Amino acid sequence: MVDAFVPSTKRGLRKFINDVRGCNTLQDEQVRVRKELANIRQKFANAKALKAYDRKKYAWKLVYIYMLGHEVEFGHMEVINLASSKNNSEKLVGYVAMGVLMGHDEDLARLVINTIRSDLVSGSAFAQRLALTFTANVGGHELTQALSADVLRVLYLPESKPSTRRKATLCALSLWRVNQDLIDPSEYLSVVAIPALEQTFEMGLNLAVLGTLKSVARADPMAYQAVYPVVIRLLEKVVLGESVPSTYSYHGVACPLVQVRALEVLALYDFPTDAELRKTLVHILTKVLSCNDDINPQSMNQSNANNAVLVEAINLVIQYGEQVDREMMEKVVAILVKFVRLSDANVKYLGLAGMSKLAQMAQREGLASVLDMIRDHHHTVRQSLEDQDGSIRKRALDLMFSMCDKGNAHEIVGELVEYLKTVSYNLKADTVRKIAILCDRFSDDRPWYVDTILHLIATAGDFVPEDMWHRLVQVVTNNEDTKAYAAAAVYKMMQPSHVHETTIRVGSYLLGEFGYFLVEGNQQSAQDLFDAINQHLDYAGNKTRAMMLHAYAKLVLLYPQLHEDVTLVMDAFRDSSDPELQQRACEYFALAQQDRVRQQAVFEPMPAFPEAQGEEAAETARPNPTPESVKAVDAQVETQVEDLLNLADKSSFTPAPEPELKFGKEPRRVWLANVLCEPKGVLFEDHFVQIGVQLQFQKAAGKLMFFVGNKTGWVLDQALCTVLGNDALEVVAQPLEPAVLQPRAQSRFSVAVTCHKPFADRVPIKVSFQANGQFEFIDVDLPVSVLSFASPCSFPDADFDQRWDAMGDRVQQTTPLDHVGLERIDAVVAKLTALKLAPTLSADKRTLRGATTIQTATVNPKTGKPAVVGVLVRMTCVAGSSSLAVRAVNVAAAVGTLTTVKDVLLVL
Amino acid sequence: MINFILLISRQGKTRLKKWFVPCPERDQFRTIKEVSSLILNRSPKVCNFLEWRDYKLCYKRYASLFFIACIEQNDNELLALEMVHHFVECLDRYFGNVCELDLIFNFHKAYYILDEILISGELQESSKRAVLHHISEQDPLI
Repeated sequence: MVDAFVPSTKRGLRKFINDVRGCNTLQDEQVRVRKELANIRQKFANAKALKAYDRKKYAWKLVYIYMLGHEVEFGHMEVINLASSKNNSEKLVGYVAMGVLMGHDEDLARLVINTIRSDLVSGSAFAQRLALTFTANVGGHELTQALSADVLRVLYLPESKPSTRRKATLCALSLWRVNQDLIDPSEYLSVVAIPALEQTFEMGLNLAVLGTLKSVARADPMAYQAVYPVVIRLLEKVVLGESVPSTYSYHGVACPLVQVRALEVLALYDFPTDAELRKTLVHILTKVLSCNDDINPQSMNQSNANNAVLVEAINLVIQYGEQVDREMMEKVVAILVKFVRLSDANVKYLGLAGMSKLAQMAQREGLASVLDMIRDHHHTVRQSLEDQDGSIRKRALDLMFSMCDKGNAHEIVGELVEYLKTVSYNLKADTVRKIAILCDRFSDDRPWYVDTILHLIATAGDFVPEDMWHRLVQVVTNNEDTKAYAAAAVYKMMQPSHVHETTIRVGSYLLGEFGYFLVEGNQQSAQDLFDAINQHLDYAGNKTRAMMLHAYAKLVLLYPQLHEDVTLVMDAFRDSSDPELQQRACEYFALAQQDRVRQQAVFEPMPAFPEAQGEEAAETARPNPTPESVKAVDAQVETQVEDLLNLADKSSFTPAPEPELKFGKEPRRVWLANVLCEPKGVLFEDHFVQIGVQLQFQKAAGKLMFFVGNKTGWVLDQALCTVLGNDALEVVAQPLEPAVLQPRAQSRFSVAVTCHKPFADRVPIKVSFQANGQFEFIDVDLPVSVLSFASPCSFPDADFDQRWDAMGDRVQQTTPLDHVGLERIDAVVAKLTALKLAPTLSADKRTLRGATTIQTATVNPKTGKPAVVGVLVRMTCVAGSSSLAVRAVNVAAAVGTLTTVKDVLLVL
Repeated sequence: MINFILLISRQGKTRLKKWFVPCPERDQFRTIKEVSSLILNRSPKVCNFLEWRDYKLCYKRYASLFFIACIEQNDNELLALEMVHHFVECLDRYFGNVCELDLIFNFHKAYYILDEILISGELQESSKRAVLHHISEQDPLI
């Protein structure tokens, strides 16, 4: 009988629970619960008349109803009143019930703040502990803001009992998670942590302090460095001296929880440099690592406790890597091997996970001997891939991946490809990804790489992400010797009458680009290539069909005998309901009527991809990135892109570097001058908004991303941006999104520009929004000049002068620059370089020569290539002033260059 | 740290739940559903750890109840199991051979005992005697 040991649950509550348990259907339960809720609501309507016993009973009933998953919309006030009661019993019930009922609701938490505060200062240890527990478990901004000072006071109070203090430290930890400035490291260490860790009779307090340190010291290890030797001494006492109260020994192991936490705190720091500490630590680790040998576990729990400590010690040794001696490393390997071979699933799991970490460390630090030791157990790992337990299979897969290097790459990839046939569904995507990464990393043997990736696409196409086959295309395009092989391989793959969608895409792309290798080598005819692709047309998706059309267009240019077939297909798609397909079909059809030169210009073979991109792709395929590091990388990318204006930093806006006002020029001209020669920057700022921009130009096209940030504390709505281009500069702008600017948030819009001919005037942008009912208008210039489309060219001075003279009878523009003299010539060179003018300084440092070409998108009818306009710049400097001259065949190009250089040099 | 702790019966009924990180009500119920179906479907011979989203679930079955703790990636799995076991031992000592019915009828006491063992997702006391001492002191009050 339960009741013999425990004072009975209140009778009404017991009956209610019994009733609910007796309900056969959900409907019955709902009826019973509704009835009870109506009853409680009625009783609470006159709560003052209720006896304490009933108030507690109804509070528990509400908690029970809430736990069943029903909504509880009332009664919170009554529960809060219980907590504020002077009676200990009511207070206890109130706090525990609130802890369950209120969850993390900040609005409700606000109602309890006064009760908690008065309990924290009350001096009653009982009330303090309840208040601390509640505050710690609920946390959140409201409580942190209101109660931090009171919680810290209890924590630092000399007369606080250990049992109160351990709750206070964990409560402070909970609030610290909201506001990291809350705990002052030196005060925490000197008042709480160090005194606590120097004793061993209150291990509960030690546990709480170590748990707190584990989080707070991770955020700032240097600030808490002073605790390091104290933790080592504590560990020494626990592990070696065993001066621990017997109630804290757990199945014969001295306080395993404290041991693990202490090792976790040590892991926040590097291997100690101090000889004495180092000796003690090595001694402790040796002892922990060897305790596995001499204890014969009596029970499951004892071995669990032992192994928990062991795993943590192993992690620490792996973290130290080469710094520990070889013997200890061998010991670690031996223990992990033992773990992996055991039949106990948990230990096996941890063994595989530990070995993965070890392999990663060995790869990183180049410890070949350790890798060899791991590789000796290749077979066991291979077997674990087939384990009945999904968790273990996942760990084994990770380990296979980590232990792969140049020497065994072919073997491991082969095994994984084989494994792909039997792998369970939820591991398949991961396996495919890992194979692709390994292939990429060890892809010296290109045919092997091509074969493996194509095989993956064929056998597990659904699990192959887009970027994987894009990478394949990249590798093939960039390596001349691989093209013919890849074309042949993919041709073979396209043969079956039904293949995976991704296969069709790769096939279309590679055969369209490199199919000619097969025809030239007399392996296949052009018709064969066309048929290999076209047989899949019927069932391919529209996106794939678009790629197929492109491949046909490329093929027909090389092999006019395909003209009839291709025209037929193009014609069929000219009225396709898919706009993309329709457009392509029409365009390709129209192109086919054009002269050959133009067609060839459009369908030039793809140039090699920039290697940086390849590196990046390989970079994203880093071994098994831990979620944290991925998040960190993501966050980094995020800040780079999203946070151009530093808006994520809630504390304040970082103002644009305050431009020095020179010559009475307004700041926006200075901002513009900066943005004209930088890839990003602030374009405008006032007390409402800050506008930033990121620019990217390639040849005659450019893309600008604008960020409009709301600096105010209120909403700015109806935000609108308009940019109108002209016949020289084509502008396509996307609307500003979102059009409502939340306080301290930012909206963005992008603008694509194309230069059709040189231009001298700037294009204005108009930004408008409504602030407090009033419209505000901002006019700024689009930070695009004729030089944005420049590509520098350089030739010797003599050559330059010859060209300069040859252009003498054409257009020349000159202007004096009064504020830039000889003494600032280096800064001028830097600016002109940023403007892509390729400046060269004459030997006497008095003349600067620069030359560039402006790229346009207009096709020159004579050459069939986009027209370029050459521009020459000459600057002659004397002390204190200089003069600038520009010559170009086109007057707009000359004027545009001159004004741009002048504007940029203005900020010097 | 422990993100949340769950007690689920073999039939999938929640006997106790406690979140130590803010999590909206609706997400809690969704999580419980997802986690319990994952765990109830695992065979008894496999290991007690399971990767779930960015976290690890460590669970153990005691008679008809599954005790589940959700911990972070770099936390020690065995330690989580030991914390769960410590909680079970405390319940066992308090109720005297605890069974599921005890936890159904005395759900409030289970919450109270948990409050004495874990706060902010960290263990605060690893001595059973100390925990039981505090609980028995206040037992008449609840």
